[in-house]
Amino acid sequence: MPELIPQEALWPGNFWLHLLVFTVIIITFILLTVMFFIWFERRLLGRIQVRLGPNRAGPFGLLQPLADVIKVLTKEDIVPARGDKPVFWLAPIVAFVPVLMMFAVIPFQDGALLVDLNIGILYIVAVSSMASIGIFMAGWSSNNKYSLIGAMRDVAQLVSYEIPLALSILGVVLIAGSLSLTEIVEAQTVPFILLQPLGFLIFFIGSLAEMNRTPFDLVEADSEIVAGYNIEYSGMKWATFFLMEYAEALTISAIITTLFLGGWRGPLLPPFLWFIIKVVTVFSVIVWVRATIPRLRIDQVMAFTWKFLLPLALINLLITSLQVVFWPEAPVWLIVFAGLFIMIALILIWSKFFKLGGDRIDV
Amino acid sequence: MFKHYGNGIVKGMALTLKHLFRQPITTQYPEERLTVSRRIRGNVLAWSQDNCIGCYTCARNCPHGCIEIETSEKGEKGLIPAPCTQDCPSHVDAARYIRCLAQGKPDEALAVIREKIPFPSVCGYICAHPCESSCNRGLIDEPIAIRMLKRFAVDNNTGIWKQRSKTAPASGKQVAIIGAGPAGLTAAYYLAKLCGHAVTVFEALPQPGGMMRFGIPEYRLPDKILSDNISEIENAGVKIKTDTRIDRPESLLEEGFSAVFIAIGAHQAIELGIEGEDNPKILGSIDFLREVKLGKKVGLGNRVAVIGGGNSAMDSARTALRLGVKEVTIIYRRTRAEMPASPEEIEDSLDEGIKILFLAAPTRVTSHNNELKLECVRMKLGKEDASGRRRPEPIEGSEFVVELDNIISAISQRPRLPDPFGLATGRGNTIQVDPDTLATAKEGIFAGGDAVLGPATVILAIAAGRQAAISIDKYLGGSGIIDETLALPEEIIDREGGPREGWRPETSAIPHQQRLNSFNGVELGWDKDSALSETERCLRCDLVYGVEKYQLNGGACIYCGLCVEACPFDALFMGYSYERATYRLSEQILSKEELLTPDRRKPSGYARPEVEKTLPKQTLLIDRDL
Ligand SMILES: Cc1cc2nc3c(=O)[nH]c(=O)nc-3n(C[C@H](O)[C@H](O)[C@H](O)COP(=O)(O)OP(=O)(O)OC[C@H]3O[C@@H](n4cnc5c(N)ncnc54)[C@H](O)[C@@H]3O)c2cc1C
Ligand code: SF4
Ligand code: SF4
Repeated sequence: MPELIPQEALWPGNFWLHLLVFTVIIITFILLTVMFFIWFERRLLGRIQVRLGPNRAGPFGLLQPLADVIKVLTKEDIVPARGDKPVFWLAPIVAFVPVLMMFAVIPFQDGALLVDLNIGILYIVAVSSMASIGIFMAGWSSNNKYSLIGAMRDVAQLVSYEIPLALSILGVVLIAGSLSLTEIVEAQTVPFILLQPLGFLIFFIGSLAEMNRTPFDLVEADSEIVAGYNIEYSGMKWATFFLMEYAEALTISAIITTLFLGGWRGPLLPPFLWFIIKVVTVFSVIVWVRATIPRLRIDQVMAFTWKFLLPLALINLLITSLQVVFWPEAPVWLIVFAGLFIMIALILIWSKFFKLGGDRIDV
Repeated sequence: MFKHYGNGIVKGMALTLKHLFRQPITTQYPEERLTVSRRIRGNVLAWSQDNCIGCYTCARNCPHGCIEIETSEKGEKGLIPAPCTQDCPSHVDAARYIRCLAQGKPDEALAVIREKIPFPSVCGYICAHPCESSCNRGLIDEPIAIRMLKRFAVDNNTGIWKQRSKTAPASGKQVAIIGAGPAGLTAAYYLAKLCGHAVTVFEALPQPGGMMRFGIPEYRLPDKILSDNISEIENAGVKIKTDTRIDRPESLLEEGFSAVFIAIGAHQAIELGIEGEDNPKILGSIDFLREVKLGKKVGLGNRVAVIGGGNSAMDSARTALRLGVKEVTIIYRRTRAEMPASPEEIEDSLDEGIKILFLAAPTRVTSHNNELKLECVRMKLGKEDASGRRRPEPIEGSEFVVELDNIISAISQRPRLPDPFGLATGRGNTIQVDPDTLATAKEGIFAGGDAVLGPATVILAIAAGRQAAISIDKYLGGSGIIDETLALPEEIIDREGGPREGWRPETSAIPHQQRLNSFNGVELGWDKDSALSETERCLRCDLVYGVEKYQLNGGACIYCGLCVEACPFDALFMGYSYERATYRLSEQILSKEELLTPDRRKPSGYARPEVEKTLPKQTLLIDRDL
């Protein structure tokens, strides 16, 4: 689709060279960052739990992920005898590729991206759900009840959380007036997190659910369904799922950075560095949440999205649209305070007539 | 709602954030090997083939039947004697004679017994059997009935051992022995037969046998059995002079004896120490039993109390019952659990209708026209004393009175030493000797048996007799070897599928009515089938069977450790599979050593060395840089 991309947006110039260079950059970036994230999460989690975390392999245990890679690569590759073998083989790839694809439209800095799609955010919403197909394939083909339960939970979770997620993105799109990620970043003279605090919260929670992270990691809930969809996987195939999960965490952090935190924008430091700093910060918050909040039950997860997130997302969208349509030139400070006030008020009101999973859980 | 969840989340996030800035703590489990008890439970069960003899104890002890074991049919002599043999004071090779019986050779069995003791029949009837207490089969269900098997061997015998026994040529030396109890007669037998000395036994009473004859009642040890054993000793050339009391051992040395062995037993009843005790109606149990045995008339009324809780109390009570006493009561100051008498004896006594009054002690006796009034006080158990039993304490104001015709005091006995003996005595008037040689302070004079030990058992007296014979022979310039080989070299029989499962065969006794008015033997011997089936229960602890299959069903195993505890040969061990790791004190934030109290700070070994090699590799715990 060369004609889709304006020639001047291309860097380093030639279309094919650009494609090649950025594909290589993206893949290396993802692999390196994922390895870093694995180490980083374990260290951070360790510190939060007042322990050291991995500290033996290499300086500060930095080589731990490498050791893990070697371990995982040398593990026996097991395929369930009664499983659906072709599907079983395909599943990790089907799950991993969409995550990689998402990165195609994420700008590292102005112009530094694979393709500046004018429907970038729509593309991301579409592609990100595809990973679930891979997960469901894995759960189905393993011929294991735990896998299947895990996979079904994943689909249920996806279907429920996709809606508030998309609705909260719409708020951003309305303010920025564009679907292209580059343009959204450029529109953020003030990071959208300030203009759209409620939208940010909903998006953040929704994406936690989408990438199956605590407290929404029901898909893998070790204590009940052992490891969920990837229970039968080992060796390289399992590693691909693992990679997929961290790559997804990376992508989501990048999207949150782009949509709400002003992307590459920032003073003094080069834009590329700003981008990475923001991504790591978002990821740290994700880990922080993981270290704090315990896993929810499936009924609580469902109730939470349908009864809490969805109505709030709708109201948020309504308020944002009203503001954009009737009072586009409202002063920023007013929007910020109004946004904050509305968020707090709504959350308080909504929690009044919302119950998580019935009376049993109400402490 | 928000209050709960919102606050919870906010507080939680704040807490985790706070933790992030705390100094991390790392506890490293010290990798020194801890000394672990045999009772430790872990996830690794290790079995050492080197120690295993294939006795099946572990398999029989597993509550889930997880251990499957198959042994070869051929056994070999192992290095260690069986525990029954080890714990017998005279080291009678019980394991071996049980196998002889299993082969249907009671003659051989008796020969094995005879190699060590000259009183096989007596032991078969009344031995206190310390061997059974240590029998490994007791770890599975019930010890082998070793005494009953011995009784079977002596009861079904032709006496082949006599043809194989030799008598040593005369040495020309004379030995005198004071007291014809088991200790004295055993020493006499070996000194005369295997050392060739001319032995004379001096006995104060009209018949030889000591307590075996005048203490242990006829219904437990028939006279004939004892006389058989004693006549065998006389056949070996021992001269027994009855009705001869010796008051001065030196006089014997002066008469030309080169050595003297004092085995006068413990024949003096200990007084109750209460007011009004010097009443002719209060008898000492030893005197009472002796009078009965001598055939004298002991006039007992209808109500008799026996005071004490030992075997002689039981014997006195049951004897009194057989003399026609209507009502026999045993008064004991503690409870049944503390009674020193053997459980079977207590059981039999109760069975025959004897009452036992627990937790009661006499305080005073008064007599009113032919009737004794025994004042007693109720006791309660207090703190444990030196012997580990709880000391009885009187309860104030709980006095009560029992009306009786006679009282038999059976508290305990001590040796009755004539003054001119002039020997150093210890606790309970016992003679002090060198425990290894039994030599007293006086040249050429030895002592042993109850006279040294205080009231004990026949088998201990026999062991003392053997030791005395060895010491005296050495003293007289002999070799001191009193072992003889009477049994043929053992052919070890095959065993298929391990020892028989199940309990002891039943032992029968004569019916109730026959007991009360006669002194007939109460316990009946076993028939061939019972004896044979009992021999099959023996684990053969002194043999080693090749273990062909030893399999632990890991799926069923609950790691309860009962097998480990049961294995008598330390062949099983339970531990943990620690991962290999390094322990550097310099890197530690919390040092276990510093946390422990000084007395526990010492680094210790992890496993006993012999099991260490059997543990899985990753169990090894590694270098410390101290
Ligand atoms: C009632 C009772 C029941 C028992 N039941 C059992 C039992 O079931 N199983 C068991 O194993 N043990 C039993 N015993 C213990 C056992 O009988 C003795 O431990 C054992 O007989 C001690 O042997 P001994 O040779 O040392 O002394 P004794 O057997 O007491 O022999 C000592 C001999 O020396 C004689 N004598 C003493 N002074 C002189 C002297 N100055 N001159 C010459 N001769 C003297 C005595 O008359 C006596 O015959 C029982 C004891 C009693 C009292
Ligand atoms: S109890 Fe011990 S010696 Fe006996 S078979 Fe088992 S492991 Fe071997
Ligand atoms: S099982 Fe047999 S050999 Fe082992 S202690 Fe008991 S009697 Fe002796």
